[in-house]
Amino acid sequence: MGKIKKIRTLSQSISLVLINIGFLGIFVKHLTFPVFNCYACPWASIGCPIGLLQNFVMNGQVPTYVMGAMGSVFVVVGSAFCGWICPFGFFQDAIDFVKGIIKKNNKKTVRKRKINYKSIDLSLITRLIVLLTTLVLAFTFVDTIFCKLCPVGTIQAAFPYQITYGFSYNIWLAARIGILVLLLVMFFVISRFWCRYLCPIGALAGPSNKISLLKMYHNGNNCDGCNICKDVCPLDIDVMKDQNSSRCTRCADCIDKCPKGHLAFGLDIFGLVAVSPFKKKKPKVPEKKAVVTSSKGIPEVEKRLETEVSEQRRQDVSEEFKYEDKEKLVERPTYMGFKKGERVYVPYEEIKKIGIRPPKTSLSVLLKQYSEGRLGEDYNATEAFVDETVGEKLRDTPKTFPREEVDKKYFEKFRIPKRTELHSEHLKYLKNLDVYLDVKAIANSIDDIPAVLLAIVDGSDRIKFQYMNTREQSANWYYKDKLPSVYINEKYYNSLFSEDEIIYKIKLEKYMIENTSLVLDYKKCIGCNAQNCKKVCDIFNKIPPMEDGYSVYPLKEFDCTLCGKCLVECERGGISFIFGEKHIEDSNFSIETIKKNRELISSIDPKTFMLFLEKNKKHSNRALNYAIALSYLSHGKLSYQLIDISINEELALKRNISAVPCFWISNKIQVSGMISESSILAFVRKISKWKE
Amino acid sequence: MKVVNIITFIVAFMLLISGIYGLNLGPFSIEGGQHQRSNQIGSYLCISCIGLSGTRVSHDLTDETLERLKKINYPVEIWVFTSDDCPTCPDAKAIIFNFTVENPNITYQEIRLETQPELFDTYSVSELPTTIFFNKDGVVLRKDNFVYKIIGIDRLQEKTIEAIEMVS
Repeated sequence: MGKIKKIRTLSQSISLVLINIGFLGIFVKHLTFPVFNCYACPWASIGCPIGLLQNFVMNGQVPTYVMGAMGSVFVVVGSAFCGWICPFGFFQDAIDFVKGIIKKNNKKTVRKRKINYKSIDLSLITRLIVLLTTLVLAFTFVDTIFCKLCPVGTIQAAFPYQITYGFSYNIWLAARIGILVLLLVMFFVISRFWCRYLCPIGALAGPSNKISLLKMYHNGNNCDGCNICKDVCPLDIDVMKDQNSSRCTRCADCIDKCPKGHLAFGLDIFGLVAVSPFKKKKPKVPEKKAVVTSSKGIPEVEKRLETEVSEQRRQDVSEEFKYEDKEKLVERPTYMGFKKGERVYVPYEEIKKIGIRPPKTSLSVLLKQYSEGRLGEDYNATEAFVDETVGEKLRDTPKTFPREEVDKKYFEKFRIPKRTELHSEHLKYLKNLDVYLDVKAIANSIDDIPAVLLAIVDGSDRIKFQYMNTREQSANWYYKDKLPSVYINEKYYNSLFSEDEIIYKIKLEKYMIENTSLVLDYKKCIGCNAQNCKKVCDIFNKIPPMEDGYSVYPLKEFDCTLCGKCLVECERGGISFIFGEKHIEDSNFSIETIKKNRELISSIDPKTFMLFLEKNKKHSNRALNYAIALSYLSHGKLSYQLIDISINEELALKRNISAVPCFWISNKIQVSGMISESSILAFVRKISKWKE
Repeated sequence: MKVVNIITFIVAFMLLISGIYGLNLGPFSIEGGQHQRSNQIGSYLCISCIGLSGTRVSHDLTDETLERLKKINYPVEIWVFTSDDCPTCPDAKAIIFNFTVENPNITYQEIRLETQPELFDTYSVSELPTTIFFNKDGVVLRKDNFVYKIIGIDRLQEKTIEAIEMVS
């Protein structure tokens, strides 16, 4: 139930009580409102307009008072009384509610059929006929014939009278019960049947929608035409075509359900229109704020990130890109009375097998040791696993003590704290990691670094971990708006500090490194004086120079982390990366224009994009180089994810990708096909909303 | 369209004001404004008009009723609340009149809405026709602390003779 519907239900139930407040002795029967409530009800406190109309007509008067009372309501709010106050409308809504419960068990969603043929709207005509016959009958027979058949009277007056003063049969009673039963059946078939076809008050209320002050408006600019408004309408009005239909009861269900919030009530004061603003429903994710720096690096006004984009990205990345092997790792065997599947600390025995030492010293000391490079030695040392303390403990305990309990007590003490709370599978994966990774954490203090990250870093000796204080000069290059910030291979990964996420990122990086190769093109590299590559990275000292041709080096072989520093720093374009092993010569390749916009790219906000590539293709290689350059120039804030389209067809098919290679953030923000430098810059402009 | 809107607006409120301040339109006029009139209609309902009670009964008393009526030896006063609009009030009056003819201990009085509306309020009568009973001291007949009322003309004869026996 939507918010407006809740308010409406509340309003209906309160007005039901207020209209029938006669049980407190309050009667204001000279008042009348355009609501359908029998005045013969023992508790009814106001008059029924139709009953009064008949009485006046029958006595040969023009019913000015009743018409005025109804009309003055109609000209202001139209038929809003029907939807929000009328007790009989409430009754029909209640039946709809029951109907909804019954239907829910059978079917999930019902979309109304689109009616292609032109149907004539007879509802207003039938209602007018009912009203006119009522008045004509009253005038000719000098009797309130309508009241004798009225279904509201049956519910509100006939049944109470029959119960209190004893049952007495007359022909009208039979007729009215018959009509009520018929109507009840019709209510279950057609919702709001009475309001739609029969209500004599509705005959006057319906047309008043066109002239009343209260009107409904629709902002058609961004409408998708989803027609949800039509589906939820209890009266089957095509809301898009006619917002102020003569059938409308102003129940506002369509306003409630419109996913974009394009429908709203407004006041039309003789042409002066005051419409409540079309509000977009805000996403429940907290809004991201970012300081957009100018090209000079001075922070400017705080600007909101575009919610639509970030929301989409959030959905896609978090749902589809979750750790793939997660299902295999959820369960773990039971240890000593712990439940299966529960997250338990790894016992001493298993840690011993894997090779991680339980910390005897505090975390900060360990970290210090680690940074000094002393901790790595301890892993393989047998001293760490000497059972001295265990022996002492065992000696102290009485011998009659059951063995299991001793074990339990002992292990409870030795359970490794927070930082090694890893899946054993993860630990095995990290132990077997054969790719060199570079992890950096920038934080205000050592304690701020997420413990999971430390645990993961501890898990493998192929990961080089470096802690940076924010005040250090070397940390200036890194993004520091959200601390602690974590860089894996000089790419900013800060979305979630969960175990699975970080491992997944590591897997991504591993895949990247395994599938890309460095190419040194000696046609362009002429052994320049600057030797930028050698200054930037030690790797180039190892590579022997050649005189002509090119050489391909798979990154895995010489512990490259694919940071892209060399690609950007080399001024002659001799260094490039390829996806695959086969080198395809690309004479037009250059990243000069991207490099020129270095400052502007560096002001971008962190984002992850997907890069759909094919192996051993010229344009794919070019796109990869652009991506690496972008990632480095944005100070690692633009991280990317390589997807080989020949392996992962599903991922590409889910998205509207027109061509490969493709830079993809959302369906709206993507660049595909033959990618040029200018299209990359346009892509950057799109994602950052950056202006010159 | 704007002109139509303004005209309907004015007309609606004009009608409302005319209804309240007694500007009666139509072939027949009534006392007071339609405002008060609608209060009367709403408050004092002719229940046969709404079809809550039957409209046809015979005015003649049955033999059983007459036998029971002859045994009554104490004075009983019956009030019948009526209105000019009510189509079944004359029936009620006729039946009660037949009771008074058969037994002189029983007297009846007609309370008309047009002349004595305050009595309707004192006995909280909101339906027409309504019959209530008094004993010789002028104390109204009560049942379960409520004024014993016979509403409508359905089985009026049987209910009335029962009530007369209850007065004692």
